[in-house]
Amino acid sequence: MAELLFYLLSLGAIGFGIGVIRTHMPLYSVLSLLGTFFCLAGIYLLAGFPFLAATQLLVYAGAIMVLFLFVIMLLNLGDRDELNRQTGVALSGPRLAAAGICAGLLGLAGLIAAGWGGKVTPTEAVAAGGVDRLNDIAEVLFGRYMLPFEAASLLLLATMVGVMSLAKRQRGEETEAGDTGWPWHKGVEQ
Amino acid sequence: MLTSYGPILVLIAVVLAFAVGNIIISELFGKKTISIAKGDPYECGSRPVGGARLRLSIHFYLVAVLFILFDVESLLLIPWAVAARGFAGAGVGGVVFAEVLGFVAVLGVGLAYVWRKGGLRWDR
Amino acid sequence: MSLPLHLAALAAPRSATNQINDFLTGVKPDFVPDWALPLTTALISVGIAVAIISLVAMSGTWLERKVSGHIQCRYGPMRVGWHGWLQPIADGVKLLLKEDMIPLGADKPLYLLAPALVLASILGAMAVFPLAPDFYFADIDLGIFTILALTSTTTIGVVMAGWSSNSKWSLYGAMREAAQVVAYEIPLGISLLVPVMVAGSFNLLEVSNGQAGGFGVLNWYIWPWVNPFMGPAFLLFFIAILAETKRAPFDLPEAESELVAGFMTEYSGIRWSFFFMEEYAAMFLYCVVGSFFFFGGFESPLTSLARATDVHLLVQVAAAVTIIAKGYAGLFLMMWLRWTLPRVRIDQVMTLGYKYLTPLALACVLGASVWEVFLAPVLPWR
Repeated sequence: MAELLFYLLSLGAIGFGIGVIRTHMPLYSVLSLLGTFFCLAGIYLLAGFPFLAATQLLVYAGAIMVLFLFVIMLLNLGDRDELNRQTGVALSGPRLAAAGICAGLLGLAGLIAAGWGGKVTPTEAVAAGGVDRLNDIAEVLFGRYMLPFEAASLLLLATMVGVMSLAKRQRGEETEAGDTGWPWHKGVEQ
Repeated sequence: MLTSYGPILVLIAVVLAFAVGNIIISELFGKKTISIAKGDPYECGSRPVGGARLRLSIHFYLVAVLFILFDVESLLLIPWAVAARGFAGAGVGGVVFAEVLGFVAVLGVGLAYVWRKGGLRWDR
Repeated sequence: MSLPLHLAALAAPRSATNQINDFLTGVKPDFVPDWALPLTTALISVGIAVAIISLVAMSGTWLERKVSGHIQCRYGPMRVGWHGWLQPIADGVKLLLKEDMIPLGADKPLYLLAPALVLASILGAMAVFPLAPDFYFADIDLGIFTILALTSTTTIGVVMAGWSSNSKWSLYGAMREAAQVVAYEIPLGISLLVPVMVAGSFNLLEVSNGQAGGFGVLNWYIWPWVNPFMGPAFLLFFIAILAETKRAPFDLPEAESELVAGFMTEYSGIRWSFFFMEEYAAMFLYCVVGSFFFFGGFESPLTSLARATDVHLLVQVAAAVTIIAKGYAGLFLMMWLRWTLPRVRIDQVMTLGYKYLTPLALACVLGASVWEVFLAPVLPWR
């Protein structure tokens, strides 16, 4: 059951990942990415890291997705025709070859890793001792990784400053409404 | 892991089935009439003006980024909240509290900066 | 090599699912194949959960109309059944028979998917809520954290609904919803850390157990002698859940006087009702969470009394009655507020969320931790 779920989720993650780059609409891209995140969260859960899985949902599916959606709306990337041609990646010979080589290399790396580490199934990874208790996480986070923890706050601070300067620069360029010209409105008598 | 989280997945699956089932029932018994005017988006009875894909204000972007930052912050505080009494029992409560205080203080400075720069003002 | 997991193992050791499985094993006739058993168990237990959720949602709509009616010196629904108590069923039938409209300009797949997604994410979170100390579906150490993670994904469904409807009202409603929900998720999460710190756990059952004793009342976390920062934390939590569930005075995403119906303007029939089910389920869920973390969970004088009799079933029933009563009390409070307070403006929503609630919630957690780390060890009653 766990193995089957693992393979299903992996397939789902890859499928949604392909969807991210194959779709013509930015919003569909974002939603495919969301699907990938959900599948990854499921894999974390199977591997015995519920905290990581919930974090994945909360931060990526909750927060980052909302940010992406806002950015898409901000740039007004609707479903206009000229955009469709730019965002969709057409399949061509060289691209397929490149994708094939990448996939082959990844597979090889996976095989090598499996060969070196011995065969590790997802359920065995749990037995290998994941840190899934919050108390254990707290112990390492506030003990051994004290400095990275403090550094994280500085990183967040730097991000805040960066975001503010970005937003300041864009201010004043806001428009009230996007352009018209809806494909569905063309055929309707005005 | 599957033992404790499985029920959630099962429940989600059943709820989706429930939703689809209800929609099918509705499709079967509900009436359907299609007309162009009816398919128009609702704009208080007038003919729709322009498209609906409006540009958003930059404020939304700011809100979303600030949310991510504070979300990460509260995530990092979660293990501490659970273990705080354990730390106190182990005699390191003060040290860990100082760590967290430093962490929150830096982010407090960040919030004050954004506030000061007008990033939290919605009317501008 | 792998764990031999099947559906029966989906349940934790003493959970409701296992009790149902035991019962079914006892009554199973011979001609029924073995594999049907775990499947039936899963279906029955999920059926119970879905039944509870729909009952809550249906009674919520009725209660809302009655409460709002009486606050405005009206009766509310009176026709269908005694004081209109069958009104939700009549409404349900009506909604099923209504036309399920799809606007011509809508993005069809997203438009169709959004309501189901919204419903699934909130009801998935319901699985974490234990109905009684020994009757639950998922006993999860990260209980409340899982609830927060699952409910945070409802935003995606709402944005999908708003964007795909191809209506200005819908889009504005959805964007407001997204901005508001994310802004208040932070004070919500941080204010919950105060009781989590006192309990030392995220598990709803453990949190409830931590408040046992004191005649079922005196050890509730809300009392200042447990932790004086608990009261302010609860206030922050309550304001945050009002915003999270889009309730007045934070009902901007569906503000009927400005945005028609916000993100669900273009929805009709049964799909529209999914959004309503989500809203009432979310309200109830958050109220129950508040009861668990601040108001004793299963603990009440009733539960203490039942525990004194030492009858297992009686304790379970008393605990279930307690938690559901507390949930409905919270629901009533939210409805009362809706008809008392005027709607706030979007800039006020954002100001309140980021400038006041977030810093206050952080201060609360730090203050509470000072109490827990430095004072609680020397307090005679802790």
